Amino acid sequence: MIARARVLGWLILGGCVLTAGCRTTRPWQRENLARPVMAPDAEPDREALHHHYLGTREGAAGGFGGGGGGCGCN
Amino acid sequence: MSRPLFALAALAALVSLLAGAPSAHALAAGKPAIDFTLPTLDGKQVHLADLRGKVVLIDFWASWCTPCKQELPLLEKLHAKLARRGLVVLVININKDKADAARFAAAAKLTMTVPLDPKAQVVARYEPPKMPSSYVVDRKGIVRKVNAGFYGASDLARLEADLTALLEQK
Amino acid sequence: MRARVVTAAALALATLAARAPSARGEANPVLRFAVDTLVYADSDRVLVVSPQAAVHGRLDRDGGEASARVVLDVISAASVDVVSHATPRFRESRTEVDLAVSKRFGPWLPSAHYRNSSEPDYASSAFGAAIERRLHPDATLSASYDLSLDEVGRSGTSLATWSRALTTHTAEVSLTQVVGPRTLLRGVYTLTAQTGYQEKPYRYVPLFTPDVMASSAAAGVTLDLANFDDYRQAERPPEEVPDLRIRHAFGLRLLRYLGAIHGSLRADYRFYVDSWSLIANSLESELAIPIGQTSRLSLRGRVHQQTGAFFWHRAYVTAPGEIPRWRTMDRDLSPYVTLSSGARYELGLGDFGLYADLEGTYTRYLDYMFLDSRVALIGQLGVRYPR
Repeated sequence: MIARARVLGWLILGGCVLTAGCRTTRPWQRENLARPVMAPDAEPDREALHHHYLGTREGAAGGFGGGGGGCGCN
Repeated sequence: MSRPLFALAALAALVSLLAGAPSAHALAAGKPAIDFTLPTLDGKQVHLADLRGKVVLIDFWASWCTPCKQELPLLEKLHAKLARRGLVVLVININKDKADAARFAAAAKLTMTVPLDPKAQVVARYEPPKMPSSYVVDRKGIVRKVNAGFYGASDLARLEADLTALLEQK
Repeated sequence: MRARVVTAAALALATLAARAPSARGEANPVLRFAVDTLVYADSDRVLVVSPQAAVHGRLDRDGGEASARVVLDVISAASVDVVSHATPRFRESRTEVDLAVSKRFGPWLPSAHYRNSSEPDYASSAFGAAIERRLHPDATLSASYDLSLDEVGRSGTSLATWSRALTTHTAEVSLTQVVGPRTLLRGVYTLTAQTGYQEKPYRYVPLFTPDVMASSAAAGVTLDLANFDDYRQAERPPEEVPDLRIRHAFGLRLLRYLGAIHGSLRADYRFYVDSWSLIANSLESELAIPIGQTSRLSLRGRVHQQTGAFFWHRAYVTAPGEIPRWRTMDRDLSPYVTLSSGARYELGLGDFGLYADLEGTYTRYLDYMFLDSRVALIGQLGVRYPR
């Protein structure tokens, strides 16, 4: 169980190292990232209400996170 | 998979992230504006070097960029106000499809020159830090100010003050 | 207490509204309003209606804002949890107020928040701080810490007469990375430590003797909600679970742009494990499809599977007079599988944004005496101004 958690931790870390090596996506290359469908946290209020319902109806909690991504605009 | 090793890997991940910072070649204030020749939306050509001696405002925009679309009508007003004093405004569109630029330009009734950079060749040399970004270029072809992003009418007021000051310098 | 909190929130909203300059000519509106309502109804006779109102006031150009949110939960339940104690349907309400403020300082976006939740038999106050840092244009790292101090009471008894404390520490680290012009990836780790009273004071656990279990099994009887009272021991002790629970959640989110439909596909996976040996896997995927310029349809599916806590038993079997150290009837500590499917339609109407969301869930309890399955419907509606 703990070993499985640790493997997952390593996978996430490995992913970070690999993706961090990628070349930067410039503001003018972000046409698709700028689209509303690509917002990682589009509606915090809507999500808060949904997560509140999930949190009271499931034995597990957490793992949602926030911030980042999106358009190079502004 | 000891704990210190895990912490070390986490640190390595962070360092490699920080190392991926953007290039420092972006065109900044004080440097000469990079020359270009581009076709325009109305079928002509624009060559920046031909505008030497004039105050030029260069703006990069795209139809997928919401703040760009909010800024353009205000730039159009600024253009209407300062064009007779010699200001040239070039609003360079970077959409892949010319039709996207044409649709917005028609809807917003733009009269400014709209150069087209569909292959992102010029924008990649200017490397604007945000979209939109505008560059104030003086009569000698030197970039005097870079305005990154658009956050409201106050940006345009600042741009107008800078441009007016440059237009007064002969 | 609740009236004071609601008044404070109302004052905060009014202050925000009064000091906000006009939104005209601004790229990002100075003030945004949101009103939502969630309705939950299930086959276990639980109905929850949760209206919510929020206001966000922009404080700077790049993510800084002050916000206030008020949520009301109106709960009406005659679930197996309630009727197994020969208690009639109960109705109660809960009020939650969230206040948050954030301000951009270069690449840093620090924030602080306060949350207060109160209901007749439960009071909770939480304080938290978070920091978000843009490492470079493609990567954002955020970290947060939250401390929640709860007071658990009994319905019908004032908190001054009987109450127990529960403290929850939550720390979270999340990294969002743009992997290319079409792909976003996010990794999240959440560590939660809870200490104190984690039982429900109204929940009592039926106990069974080995003889009764053997004879009922021989007679082909399966213990359930209808017959458990005929077989259980006379003594029914209150629920008792460990005072400390350490919870780990690892989340991964992949968001990919789909050029063919101008939409996106989101895939979330979460692995969860805690010190009570509860292990859960949750997988969710959503397809967002724009329809025209102003509307969007999103379709999603979710699978959640979990094991039971190490002390979970369908029926606690003990010799007469013996009480097991840990005992619970909390079905969220039991093994089960939940399948969910939902759709959301979002529409822009002038300056207004509207959405309607409907989700259906089916839960199969694998080892729960009072219930084998549950079907739930969750509807959510919301309005935004400006959108």
